[in-house]
Amino acid sequence: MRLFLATIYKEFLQLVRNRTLLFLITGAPVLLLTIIPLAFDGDVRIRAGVCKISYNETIRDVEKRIAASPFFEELVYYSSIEEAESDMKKGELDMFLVIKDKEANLVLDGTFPRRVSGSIYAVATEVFGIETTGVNFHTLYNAGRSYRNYYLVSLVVLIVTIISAALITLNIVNEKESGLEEQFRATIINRKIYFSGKFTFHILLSLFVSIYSYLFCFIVYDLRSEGSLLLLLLATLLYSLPVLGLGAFIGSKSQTQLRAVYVLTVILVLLIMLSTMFSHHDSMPEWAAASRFINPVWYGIESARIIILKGI
Amino acid sequence: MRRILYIAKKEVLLILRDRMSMIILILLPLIITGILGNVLRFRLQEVGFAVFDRSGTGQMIQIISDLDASEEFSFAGNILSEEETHNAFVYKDVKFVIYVPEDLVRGGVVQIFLDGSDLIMSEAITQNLSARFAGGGYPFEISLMYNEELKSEMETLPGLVMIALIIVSSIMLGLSINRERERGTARMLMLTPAGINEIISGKGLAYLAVSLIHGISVYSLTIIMFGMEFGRGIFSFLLLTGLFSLNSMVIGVFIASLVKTELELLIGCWFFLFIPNVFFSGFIFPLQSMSVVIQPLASVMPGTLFIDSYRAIVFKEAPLFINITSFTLLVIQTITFYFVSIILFNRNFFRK
Amino acid sequence: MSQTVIRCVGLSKNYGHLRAVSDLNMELREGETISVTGSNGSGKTTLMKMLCGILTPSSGEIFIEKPVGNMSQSSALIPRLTTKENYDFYGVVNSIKRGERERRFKEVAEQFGLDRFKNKRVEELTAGWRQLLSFSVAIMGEPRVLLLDEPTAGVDTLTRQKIWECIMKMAESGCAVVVTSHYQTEVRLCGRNLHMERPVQL
Repeated sequence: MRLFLATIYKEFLQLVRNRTLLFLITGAPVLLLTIIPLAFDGDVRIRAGVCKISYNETIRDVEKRIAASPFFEELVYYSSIEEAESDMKKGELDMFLVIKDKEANLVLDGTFPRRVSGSIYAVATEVFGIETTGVNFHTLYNAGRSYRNYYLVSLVVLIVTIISAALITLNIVNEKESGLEEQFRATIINRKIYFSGKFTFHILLSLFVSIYSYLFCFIVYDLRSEGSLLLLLLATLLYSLPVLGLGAFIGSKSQTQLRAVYVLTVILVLLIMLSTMFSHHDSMPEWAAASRFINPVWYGIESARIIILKGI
Repeated sequence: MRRILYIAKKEVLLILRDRMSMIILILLPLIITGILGNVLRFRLQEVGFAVFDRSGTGQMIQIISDLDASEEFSFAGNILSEEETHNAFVYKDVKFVIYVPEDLVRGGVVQIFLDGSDLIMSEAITQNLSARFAGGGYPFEISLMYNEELKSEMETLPGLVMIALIIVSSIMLGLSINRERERGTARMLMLTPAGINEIISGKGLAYLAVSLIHGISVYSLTIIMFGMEFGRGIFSFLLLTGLFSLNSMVIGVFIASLVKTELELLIGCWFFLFIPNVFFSGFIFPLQSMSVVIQPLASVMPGTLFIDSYRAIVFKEAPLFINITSFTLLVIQTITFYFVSIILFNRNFFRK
Repeated sequence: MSQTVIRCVGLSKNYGHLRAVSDLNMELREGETISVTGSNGSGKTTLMKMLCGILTPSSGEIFIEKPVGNMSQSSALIPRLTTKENYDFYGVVNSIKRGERERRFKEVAEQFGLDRFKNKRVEELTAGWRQLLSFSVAIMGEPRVLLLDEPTAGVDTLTRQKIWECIMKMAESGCAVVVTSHYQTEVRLCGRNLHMERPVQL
């Protein structure tokens, strides 16, 4: 219908003539995709120390192996256990070995439970040469063994979610605040079509931001999708619908821009946190893990992961 | 100085009467600990695995049922063909597949296929399974310092307190300042002998109290919810919390002095206070995993300083000044931003 | 026999304990012009909003003949769009086909001098030109009723003249006009007057 198309055109004009919004959909993703990945660029190495109470063969052996292993940072030497403990208190040491004659004692910093098992494993395999017999491990997907792609995908979904929701919420609240909404109520006969046009426009905008972001990752970070790109697009489309709906709902219920942003922030942060973007659903309590089935962000991120990293 | 106290008291009254403030005040610690604390942890728990057994013997059955019985793993089913492997990973939420070869009895090696798209999980599974199959224990003793029960919530707790403090301190304070500006009461206050300095200090005091309450409530809630022990450095903890709150507030004030509208303030706080501190403070990604380019910057970020000191003081019962550099840096940053803000405010408080 | 195009029976609107419009009875026929006057806050805009249909009365009935042209205090114009683009958008809203839209725009642009602002963004226009454009949009749908809330606010004498000339022409061709105004000269131009008193505390 004519009003439908005219609305989309009007929204488009309003967007491209708004410098702040233009920046938000073009500059902001690039900025975030450039800076945040710097946080997960490198490999985590274990900061190990060794207490040289009495120098012996074992210690020399240990030193050599740690130096040669990619799992560890440069070894730090301590002349006493107290010194090592002090550094561990400061948070500068993950683990240290105390070696007396043939006995070795591995002391670990328990405040990082994740690193504990990693450290034990690394010490066992790299330093003491323990091998697991009868079992071989293989990794499927992500042959490059980098966890950067995993986080990149999460980041793109995060960016698309936030920008899409924010844009539609602000759009609707702005029309309210400026009095245009009232005007439209008085003059536009078929408001359903007007709203559909607006909503459709924002769907297109979401798709644009996601294509744009993925393209950026494609070019700059060499991200490749294992699965069909078309399917990825479809998935993005589907998951953006409830997200936009939520944004529209919040926008229509809020009186001021500020309140809308507040509410949107709280709800989005909750949805994002519960969406396994930064965690695993097996690590969550039952209620939290179950909530993912009504969480659009979870659908977004899970579908993106499956399509890009595993391939459908 | 009495004026400052008076301004602080007035501010507290305003907070108590504003519905939005009260909601944030009460809900925030609950949301952050109740939800984030439970969600942002890593623990191998009922991780699904499938088995592709071609050996036709019952040798693996004991091992499989042991794995299933453990709290870390959960048996998801049998796979009957290679094609099903891919499907299992994609559709059945399986994180690894155990492949038992035909020639198991004759010395065939069991293969374990992991999901490389989720490396963190895969590595954790590898470590756990290696330990199980290592046979014969380790040639070294293992002792844990701090957190002997290996509660995984402990890792994220400092970050959670940090988030609560940032939100409360910066956003609420900045908003309050803008509120005055927009209502014009600021003009009247400026004309009084108090001046901008005292206004900000007064408000700051009120929000400092709020922040301390927040910090304590988040911390107490975690103790109640996750049963962690109470570190003995309560005084140091309060000092640290207070210092960090002050720091966040001052940065919030700084951002407020640069922007015109409340909305810009909120977005500014998000981009320049919240996001950097969440991603680059060691909360989600460890500092060592950051690119070399950004590590020096990240290590002086207030969030990082807070988290490091927090861990030391609260979990490791270290003396207050073990992280003397962190404290000094926080103090320096606070003072610098404070003075810059005052200058900026005096210059253009009424620019609109 | 000229037709009734607006009828209000027992119309009232309450805001909490404040009654802004109190038991209003009014009938307007084609071609009649009525000015609505009253001090600030006397409920004029409330009445206009109820006539538009965007506010529901607390009690009473309204009957109003469509199509209705509306010009309210908060501008209907989309700031970032140009004069022509705004006109086109509202043209579509009023289901006016493109050919017809172009023709009318030319007419209106020449009549009001908006020609030279055809491609200028509304936010760059001064108040006077914006009022003219809002007015053109209001009369676009060939309305049978025109509701104008302070159509000449912030506008210079020449523009005011132009607008009123147009209003009178519309009235002559059978359109009923309801105008809110503070100006005595404008009130005198209208055939009837409705004066509103301050809201009543219940």
